[in-house]
Amino acid sequence: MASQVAEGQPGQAHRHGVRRTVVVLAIVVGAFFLLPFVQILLMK
Amino acid sequence: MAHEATHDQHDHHHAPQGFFQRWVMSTNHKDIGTLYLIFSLTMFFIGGSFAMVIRAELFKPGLDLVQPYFFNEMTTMHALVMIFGAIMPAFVGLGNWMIPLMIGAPDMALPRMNNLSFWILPFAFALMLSTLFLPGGGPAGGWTMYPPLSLQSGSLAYVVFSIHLMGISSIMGAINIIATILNMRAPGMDLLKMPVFVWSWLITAFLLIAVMPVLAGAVTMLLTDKYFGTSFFNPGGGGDPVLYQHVFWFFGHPEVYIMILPAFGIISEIVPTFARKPIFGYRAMVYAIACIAFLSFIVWAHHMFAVGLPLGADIFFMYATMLIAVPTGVKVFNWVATMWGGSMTFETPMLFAIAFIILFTIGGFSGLMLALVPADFQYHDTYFVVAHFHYVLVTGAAFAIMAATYYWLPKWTGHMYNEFWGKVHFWCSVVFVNVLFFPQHFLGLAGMPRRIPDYNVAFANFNMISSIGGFLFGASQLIFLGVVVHCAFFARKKAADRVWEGAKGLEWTVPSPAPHHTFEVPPVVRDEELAHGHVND
Repeated sequence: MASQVAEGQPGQAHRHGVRRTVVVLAIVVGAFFLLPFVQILLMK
Repeated sequence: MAHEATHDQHDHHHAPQGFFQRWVMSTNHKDIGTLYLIFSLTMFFIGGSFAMVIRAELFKPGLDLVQPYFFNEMTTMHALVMIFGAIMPAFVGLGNWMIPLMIGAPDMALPRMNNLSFWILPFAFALMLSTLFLPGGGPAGGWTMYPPLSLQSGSLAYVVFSIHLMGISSIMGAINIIATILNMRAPGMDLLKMPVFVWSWLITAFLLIAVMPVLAGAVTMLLTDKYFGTSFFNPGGGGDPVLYQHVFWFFGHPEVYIMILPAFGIISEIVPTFARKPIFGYRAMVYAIACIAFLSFIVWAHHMFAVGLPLGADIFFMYATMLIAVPTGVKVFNWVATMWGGSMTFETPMLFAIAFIILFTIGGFSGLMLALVPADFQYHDTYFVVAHFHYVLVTGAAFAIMAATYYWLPKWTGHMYNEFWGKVHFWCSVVFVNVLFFPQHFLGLAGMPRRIPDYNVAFANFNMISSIGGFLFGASQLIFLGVVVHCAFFARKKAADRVWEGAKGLEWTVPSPAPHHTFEVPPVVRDEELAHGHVND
């Protein structure tokens, strides 16, 4: 692999799957961050 | 597995030249795994030194060595350093090293993010530890940071920021592990053919994704309560401090499982190797881990029975907590059944694994006692709780990390560690850890509260025994350090590719030490080479 490319970078076939996984997980992270705020606001 | 053909196709096995390029800029999963493990070992000794201060002060009644506030700083920092700095990074390091090797992937799915995940950590901990030297001192309200006590600390903002950094690191690490396992497995490595360690990390990563943001939210609310005039937890403004406890333990209980599920995975790798049998009930092991992870989300209030919950909530959380004993019992049964009738040998990793099974079970049983609401009213905030979670986290998580280190160290370094000194380390550890923690059960049952620097003379004898055990257990870990350093730099005895006779799985098909790049051409996976045998039969 060329030095500019991170070692172990997945091939083109894998990239789409990796990107989709990351996007879904990022949304989950955001939702869970907001969860306690929503919970508290609903209880007020 | 077509591993020989695979390795012939490695076009460059060598690491980048130069210290900075190799270790600071690394995107290689093995190097980053090594960095995590070195960081974890460092934090293990820093957190351990805090524990030595605690046990020295508690050696006999009276305020002898340190001021009470400093004692409270030590208990708080010991917990934060051991949980977030030692145990969790150790498992991430083991995952980084072994998951790609076990699933036949060339590296993690997101190598640059992997580098960032690690390099955030030293800064987060430097920030947190620096608070000990600030005017007003560091956090001293316990690792749970309950308001209003935690809001009195002048260093709250530093600690909250460092927890945010650790959380970001953990979340990025978890995303990376999930993306790797779901997208980078070698052809033929179906989900239900993966090693149990990989399964345990996949489930742990989902737990991390779900609960680390909740902790971030909780500490952000602490921050805004202290500095921006909000009243999330301030009754004077319509808030409720008990609400913090609910939010914190919604994170905190799954966090406990984040620290033990990868340990289950490690033990599930080691026991079949040294019993020379496939693991008993592979699918049941995987489902048990998933079941424990699910249950961890619905038991949080068992940490706060003493606040006065509605009776229905008490009963729900009590029974839900007791339910966890079922999948945990399945796991313990399966480990024992794996050993049953096996051609067992007792090298150091196996000794630690067997000690784990016995001593973690003791921690599990004391957990069941704490799950009982009426009993918990008696045990809450006593040394019984301290004894319980140290059996789970020291003889559980830490012993599993030590077992994993001995198990995979020859694969990492290319040399065998010194078996004699490994066994000396094991026997010293297993004896002294019980001298350290077992008397704490009796102290708790007799009513000694936790997090106090002084105590009634009635508790003197057991405290002295516990402290002696603590000093000797701490000293025993220097043997561990010596064995690891010797193996890494001075050992002569070369390790075979398949280090252990009974070891199966892709990681043993690569040379020892593992080359800088592995599986650039995906290996062919054959069922008979898997540690758990023919799972689809």
